[in-house]
Amino acid sequence: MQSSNHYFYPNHSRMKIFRFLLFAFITLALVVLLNKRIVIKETALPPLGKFLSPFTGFWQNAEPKEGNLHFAENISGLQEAITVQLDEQRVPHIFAKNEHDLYFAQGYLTARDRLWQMEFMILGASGRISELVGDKALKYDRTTRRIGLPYAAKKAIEHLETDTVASTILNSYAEGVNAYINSLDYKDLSLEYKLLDYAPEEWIPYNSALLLKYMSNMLTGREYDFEYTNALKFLDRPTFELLFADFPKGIDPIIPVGTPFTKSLAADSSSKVQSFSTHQPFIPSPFEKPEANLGSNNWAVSPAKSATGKALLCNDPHLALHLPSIWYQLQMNAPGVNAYGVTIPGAPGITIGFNENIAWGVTNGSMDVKDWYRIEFKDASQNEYRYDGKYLPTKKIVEEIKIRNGETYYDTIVYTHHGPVTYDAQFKFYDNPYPVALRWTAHDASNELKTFYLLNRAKNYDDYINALNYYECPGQNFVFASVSGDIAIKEQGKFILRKPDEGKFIQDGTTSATEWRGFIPFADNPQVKNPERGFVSSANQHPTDTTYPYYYHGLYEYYRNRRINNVLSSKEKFSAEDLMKLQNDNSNLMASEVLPYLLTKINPASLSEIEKKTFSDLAAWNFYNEKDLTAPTYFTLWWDKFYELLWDEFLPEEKKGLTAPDFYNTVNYIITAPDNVLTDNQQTPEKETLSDLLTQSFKQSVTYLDKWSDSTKLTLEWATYKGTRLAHWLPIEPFYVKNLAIGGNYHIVNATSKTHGGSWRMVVELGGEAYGIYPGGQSGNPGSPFYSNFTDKWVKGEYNTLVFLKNESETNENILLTKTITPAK
Amino acid sequence: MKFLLSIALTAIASLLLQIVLPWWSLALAAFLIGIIVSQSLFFSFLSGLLGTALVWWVYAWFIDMNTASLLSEKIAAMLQIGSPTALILLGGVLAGIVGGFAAASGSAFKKLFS
Repeated sequence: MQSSNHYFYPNHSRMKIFRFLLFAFITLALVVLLNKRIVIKETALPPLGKFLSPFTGFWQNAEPKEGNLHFAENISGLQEAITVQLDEQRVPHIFAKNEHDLYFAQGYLTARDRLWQMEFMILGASGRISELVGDKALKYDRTTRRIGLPYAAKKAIEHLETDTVASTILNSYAEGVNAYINSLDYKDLSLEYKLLDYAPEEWIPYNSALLLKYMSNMLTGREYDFEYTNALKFLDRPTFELLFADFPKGIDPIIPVGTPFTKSLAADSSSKVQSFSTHQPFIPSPFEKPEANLGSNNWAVSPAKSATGKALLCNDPHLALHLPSIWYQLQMNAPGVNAYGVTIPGAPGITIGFNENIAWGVTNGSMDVKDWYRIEFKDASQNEYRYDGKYLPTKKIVEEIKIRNGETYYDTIVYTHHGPVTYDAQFKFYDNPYPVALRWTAHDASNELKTFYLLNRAKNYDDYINALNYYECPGQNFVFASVSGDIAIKEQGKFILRKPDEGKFIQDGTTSATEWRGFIPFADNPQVKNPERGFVSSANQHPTDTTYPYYYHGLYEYYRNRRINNVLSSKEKFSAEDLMKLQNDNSNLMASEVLPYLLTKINPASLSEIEKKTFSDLAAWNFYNEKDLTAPTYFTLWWDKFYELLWDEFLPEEKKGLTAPDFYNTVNYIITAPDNVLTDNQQTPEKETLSDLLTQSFKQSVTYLDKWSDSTKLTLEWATYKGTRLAHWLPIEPFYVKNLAIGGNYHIVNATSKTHGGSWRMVVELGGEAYGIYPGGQSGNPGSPFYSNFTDKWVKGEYNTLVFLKNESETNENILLTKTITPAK
Repeated sequence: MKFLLSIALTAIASLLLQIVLPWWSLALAAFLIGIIVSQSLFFSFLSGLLGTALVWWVYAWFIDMNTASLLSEKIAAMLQIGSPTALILLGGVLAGIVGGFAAASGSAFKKLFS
């Protein structure tokens, strides 16, 4: 560098000042720029300086191979010292001396592993995702608020705070979460906070109520009132009942046929409800529904049927496969309670698990508890609505939806006595002609937390039934087994006292004649204790046959339940290993019932070489959706293509505002009524027969798969084609675990599809060992070796032996460390 | 010699500051060393760059070794920059550019009074 460079070596003092200011400005500008999240079109970059700093950024989230073994020595807010034992699977075992500290510790430790996830679910449940990602989430946020999830949670928390038990556990849990949050510096925040550049808020008990409402929506949010209303516009009544039967032939209900039911109330079973559709315009379905095909299995085997003479209980809830996993394992011990199981991060207590005396598990009970009422406002102001010949005032709540990098959106939601008017002139994605209000049991205040509190402490059957009496929504099939040898199952929830067909169609909201008249008494809910067959089971099927004295309808499963019952009836004695095998069973009952019939409809002479090969592959198939077979791929694709051609009147659902019959009713239809006018494809001038549709769809599927295989360079083995993956809650693919080599599918006991599956498989031998596994890992941190370490075992159908400590001083070789944490002064 | 000393001082000062302060405190460190050690603007810039970048490179590399690249591979894939090594280099370069300009600012500040 020579002094001839005028820029670097000025003599003039003004120039020197300018030079200093320029460098200082560049430095400051760089700091500001690198400290800021930048959105370029759809892609957002984290604040790079902050994020890439090895001192505070993502590097601080990277964990060594032993994971995060650091625990605080003392925590402010504890009343007495607690002991935490951490086992090799990183499951904390909490030993507390009082209930406050027990739930405080649960909140603290759950947050330590899963804080981001629990808070993200709360943002989702309260319609606040736009705050994080901008206006692309506005429709989701408006929907969430308009179906009344925050409204329901507010009602719930007011009710919960009046109950000493619920209030204590909720507040202790929140204190624990906050003690953890308050211990954090920026560098300690979960990776996702750093990526999206925001910070955790204070945790409040209301959040746990929101989480329960979020689960209620996930599990009871799906119904077809709009679609059924529309279907009646062009289907006559017998056809409608053929396609959407309440009780199709051949069902295998939860409560064994022949079990007597009680009826302590006189149900009003006058004439069928007149659908509102006949004098109403056609409206497409208003918005996306919670996912279909969520489901679960559970069963219990009596001591007499158990190889060891000890009762066995199994549960595998099927949910969307996410990372961090939806479940978190925990042992909770304090005077009066010693329970082990899985918890939902954000909810106090153990949701599915066991203690020294009993075990319990849940599957979704799918009775319809969500109804829509047509509202007639007096005028466009929406201040009054017509009801029984009078006008009633509405209530309006203005929802403030904050939007990242955008203007706050204000949405006025009108409330009637039915509930929120979800869908009106201010909120329509289609050209809907009238407003509708939502009446839903999820809106009612209830105390489900107490059910889990009591189940965690239950000693016997009576305790179990008593615990269930606090449980209202979402309706669940609670399976039960005890060390003393009882087994039982009960579908518990607040179920509506209905007339036949009531709640299937949009109802008239201007009259009290269509109102709910009450609820089925809990004592009459479907249940059975120690049935003769020696086992109880459920898999989202009908709870009862038609002898149940109350009318109900819902969306039910027809295959998994029959397979489970067939297997459980097939042998005298079962071991825990047998039941693990059953949880991972890939038998495709639907294929075994329908495929041989489908193949008879195809003329092999009309097939090309490659089609012939597929045909013989299918003809030779053993009807198991095993991961390395190609036949399940061919069958699935063929069926899907055929289903689209057959039900062209109903599909695509979103466009037509209709729903097509489920698979079981479709199979019934093609076998019993193949010549019905609906079989013909309306999109073509020709008149197609069932055989034509099957041949067309068969050829289409073979061509499609051939092309798919060519373009992806992948084989057609079932697991490869299916591509099961665990998805991070944010769409960041490097955080996913993909292409899992696992069989199964919907309607199969191992209900693992591409995106859903057994989110927690548990097998408990009462008074013996317990086994469990879930896809994912205890840590929610993508930088931890324990983020998805259970996945390999889960894929292979293997289990961890769960470490259940009788007391604090019991030694167990699988305990990695023991830590006493004292209250901070 | 002065150049190497300046790099070493920048590294030490920025390391110490970043233990307690946010990442941008590396700019403070480089600025101060830019004032303390008299050098041409160019060499101040370069020693600020290298001093701050080295600390990031070495620390990030150390963490990466310790954690078997488990997270850095995911972040590298997310940012579409190939490999953990590229990610380590990128971080150091960004820190270095800030450190370099901060050191040059310090040097330019000192020259106001010479």
